[in-house]
Amino acid sequence: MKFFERFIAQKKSVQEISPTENITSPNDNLEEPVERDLMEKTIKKILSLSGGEISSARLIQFESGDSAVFKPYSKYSEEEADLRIARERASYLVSRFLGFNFVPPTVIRAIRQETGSLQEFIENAPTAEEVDYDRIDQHELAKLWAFDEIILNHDRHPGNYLVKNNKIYAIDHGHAFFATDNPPRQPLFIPGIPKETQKTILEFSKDTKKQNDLRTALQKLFDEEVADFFIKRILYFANLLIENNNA
Amino acid sequence: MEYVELYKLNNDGTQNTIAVCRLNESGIVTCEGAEILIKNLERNGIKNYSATDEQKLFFKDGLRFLEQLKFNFNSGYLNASDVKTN
Repeated sequence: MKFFERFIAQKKSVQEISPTENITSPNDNLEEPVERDLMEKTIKKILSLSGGEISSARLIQFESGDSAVFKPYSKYSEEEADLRIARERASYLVSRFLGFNFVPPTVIRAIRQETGSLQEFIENAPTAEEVDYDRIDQHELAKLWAFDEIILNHDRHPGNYLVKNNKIYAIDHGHAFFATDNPPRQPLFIPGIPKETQKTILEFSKDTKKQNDLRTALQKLFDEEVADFFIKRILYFANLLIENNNA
Repeated sequence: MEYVELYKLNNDGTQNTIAVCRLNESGIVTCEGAEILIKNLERNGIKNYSATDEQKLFFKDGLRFLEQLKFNFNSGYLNASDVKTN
């Protein structure tokens, strides 16, 4: 079924992008050293966490002394869990390729017979819910809204981003790559995005190799049409930046 | 009476209870603990994941507010418990 046909075929008001059947080889050969490191590090301890039972987040402590958050989404069906895990990795990839640098390095890893997203743990970082909103950097927030527009994330709230030293770390992307329209609306222009981030997005829009690399990585998580859709969405957003800068 | 605990994850993997939200006799939620967190919850509410539209829940929504806390706080960094009773 074609990408947009999937949207049209479902009569529910909320529709989601289907993942490929199995995430058998989720990570690609485009990983950065930090990602390869997350995939290969020796695990010292797995700590179950109290509360927040939807995702059954666990803290993985490595022999090297650092930690990561593991989310197998074990309370969901296998298909739904695979989709959410793929979205976690895909959000990191888009953040990395577009220079947002919001999402801590995230890979997909099997740990003790469970597969889940494994994301670098940010130490001493409160969620936005724990800090005075008025003190959060407005440029960082503008970047965050722009990022969510691009990845179609309908689930941003102060419980799923961290604030540390004026920098935002975006976490929890199980609801990203998610459409509520038929077809999903084009991204909106978000004012206040720092020039540096705009420059990186515009560079991406001119760099076909980077586009192909991201497309390849997303294809392995979803499928070709979904990957193409999001590359086009990024290019559309880049055009919005050009139009608004020329206005 | 029903209540929910909010757990903060520390660097060493331990968790501290930083706030407790309780349903009072008049059906309204009151919270004790981390001051800014509670102020934000009170002022801005939380997302209602059981609604199809962008609906928010506030302290006045009582048990529905408590029930939705664990869906809002499940990142690991800040988790909410199920609704407990004492």
